[in-house]
Amino acid sequence: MKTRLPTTLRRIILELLVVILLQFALSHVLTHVRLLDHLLSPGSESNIALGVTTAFLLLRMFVMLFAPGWFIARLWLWWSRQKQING
Amino acid sequence: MPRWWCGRDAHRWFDGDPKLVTALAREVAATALRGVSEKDFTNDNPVFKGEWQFGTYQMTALALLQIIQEHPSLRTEFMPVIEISIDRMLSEEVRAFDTKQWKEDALATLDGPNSHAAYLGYMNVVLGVHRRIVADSRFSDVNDRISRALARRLRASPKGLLETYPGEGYPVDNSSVIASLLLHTRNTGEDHNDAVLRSLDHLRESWIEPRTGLLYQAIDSRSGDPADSARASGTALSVALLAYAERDTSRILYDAVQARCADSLFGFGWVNEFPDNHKGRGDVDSGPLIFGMSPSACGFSLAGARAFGDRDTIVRLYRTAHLMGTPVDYNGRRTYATGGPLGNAILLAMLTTQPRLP
Repeated sequence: MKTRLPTTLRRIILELLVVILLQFALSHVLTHVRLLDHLLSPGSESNIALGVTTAFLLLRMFVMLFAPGWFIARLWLWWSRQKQING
Repeated sequence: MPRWWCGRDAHRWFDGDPKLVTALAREVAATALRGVSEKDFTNDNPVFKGEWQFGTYQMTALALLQIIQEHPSLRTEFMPVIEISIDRMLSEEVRAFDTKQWKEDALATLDGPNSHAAYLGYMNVVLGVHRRIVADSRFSDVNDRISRALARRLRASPKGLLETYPGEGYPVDNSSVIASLLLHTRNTGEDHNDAVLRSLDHLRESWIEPRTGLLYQAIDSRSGDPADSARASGTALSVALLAYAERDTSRILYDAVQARCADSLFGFGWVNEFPDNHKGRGDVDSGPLIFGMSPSACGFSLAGARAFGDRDTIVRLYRTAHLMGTPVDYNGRRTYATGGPLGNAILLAMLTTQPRLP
């Protein structure tokens, strides 16, 4: 019989993967459209580009700086809950 | 973990790992071969666009020259790109930004009195480094003519300062003039010491703010008085330029930037544009300031850190560059998404600055 991961654990892992993959995919896309050039040399038509760039960099900072802690904290919460249920 | 992840490549850059260096160098070389035009930049000001176009080729040529010096096996691959970049820097199209400001062509008026400090100074640094590596450089003649013109103009300048554009004097651009003349002396034995030493005296006595040790961003070319604050972006770029020929002054400026402007949190380093956490506005030199942090000063400081063997600083700064620069690897190449053509070329030039004089 095929064992399934408990829904909550799967969700924790999936959400982490989605955030990482989104950041990875966006960084490749932005390299090609060169939206991020506006950051270094903004002009009068740079407002939308700067907004998108800022949003991307916030996502990247979240993934690089906070996602590991966020993931570990969620795992710990999940594990505590499982222990409570099983105990 | 974030600090480990973002710092994985930092030690490899410091150690000059050929695989990593080649990956970014190939991207930068491909951009130079494809050609950089003003359309590649988003700023509205045509002068800045022209400066960045010129700067992209200049940083590309310098970076690849440094790489060849450190990894001679890459000479065959990168020397043609270097010489194409130099040809483009010498072209009418690329020097048009300077011509427009001075209303005369810098190369056609080398016998004249007008300084053209930025175009000729930065150009001449590249020619000098190229000549150190290629003894019979086909650019020797233009290198000689530019050097003699700059030395003559320095001697004639009452404040030892050459103007970048009419009425505008910048210590950082004069650092390129000084470095290029010292390189010319080392390459040819031609003596420019009277002009260079006088200018270096002015730099140490009048262009450095005594309280912080940082260079003023601008100097009034007539009075010799400061025309802007002492700032990190100009000082850090001067460190990089003087590292080609005048390491003592370069080291003094590097130490001042580190003491007054550098900071870090959880292993991520940065450089503030203004010393001692003073607040000020960013501009085209500093890039957009984020809580006072200057992207330009952070990037330029990598050069001093590598030149002076400061591994800790390069690791801290690179972690931040990795975080905000967004490196993307593809087909054996690396590009930093936030940099674009100029950012990639600058980062490569700074990260491959040589611990020894060229």
